[in-house]
Amino acid sequence: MRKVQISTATGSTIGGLIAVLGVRYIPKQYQYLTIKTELELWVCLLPMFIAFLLVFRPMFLKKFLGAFGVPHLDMNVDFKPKLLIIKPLWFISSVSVLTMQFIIVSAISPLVLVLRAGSLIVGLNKEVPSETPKSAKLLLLLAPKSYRENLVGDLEQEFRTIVLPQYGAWRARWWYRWQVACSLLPIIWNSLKRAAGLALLWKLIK
Amino acid sequence: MQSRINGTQSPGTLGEFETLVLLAILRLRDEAYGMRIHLEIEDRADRQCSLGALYTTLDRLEQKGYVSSSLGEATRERGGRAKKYFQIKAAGQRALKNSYAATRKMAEGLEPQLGVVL
Repeated sequence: MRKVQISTATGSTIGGLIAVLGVRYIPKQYQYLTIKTELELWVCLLPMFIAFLLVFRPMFLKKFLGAFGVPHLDMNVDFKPKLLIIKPLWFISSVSVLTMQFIIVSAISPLVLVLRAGSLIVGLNKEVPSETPKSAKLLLLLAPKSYRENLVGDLEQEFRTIVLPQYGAWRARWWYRWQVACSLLPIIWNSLKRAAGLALLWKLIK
Repeated sequence: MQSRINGTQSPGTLGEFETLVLLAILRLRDEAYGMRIHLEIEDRADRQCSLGALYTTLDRLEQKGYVSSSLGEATRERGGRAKKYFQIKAAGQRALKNSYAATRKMAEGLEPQLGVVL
């Protein structure tokens, strides 16, 4: 019988548990797509499962987990049942284990995330708040005081009057985050350079 | 001379983005505030820039004495924050004129190669 190595299952279980916990604590407004029907689930799962098997080949996973000292269960590896009756049972158990694994993994599957993003782009984002993201707004406190208020005001005005009506809440919010990141990066970079300069000066003085 | 050797900007000259910002202010006249300048640069010059980069440049131009600013009205769509209007000063106009003249002189005779009419 062909060897079926299901060590992938261990990895997917760990990933799945993290995912389930992650999804559980993601606020509702950020959960853009709810899988309601079984068909939707399988559409998500099947390509993900194939990709998962291709990327995380059992041997690779075994080495990877071993390197980090993660307890690793090689279920059914090199298992060659001698009794004929065991073969179908073994096959059913393997398939059911795998099925369970990829149902769990689907929670974090990047593919699901892509599908979620896709569903937003086509306008299924009814629950996304049409406000500027608070976390990004908070980051703007790092902007120089001399123009911080004006920068926040301009960003807010462009967000509300141009980007939000034109592109929808989800994309508008990402636009806002991107603007904040682009605005802050040069400031952070300059601060780092200044800090490096000061460190060098301190070294010279010492 | 030192700045030429180092490749840095001398006090009277303008960078490319600074030129764009000053031209946008000049074009917008009484409506020159952050968001409008940002959109003007994106629409006309077809150049993507962040509002943060724009404000950093405006701050620098103000320090150089090329532009002045005044606070305007606070509006609801800005979350109750006031607009900051920018006006170009005489020094700014002079710098812009010099920068434009220098570009023209450098490009003189190169129109066929550049594929533009100056």
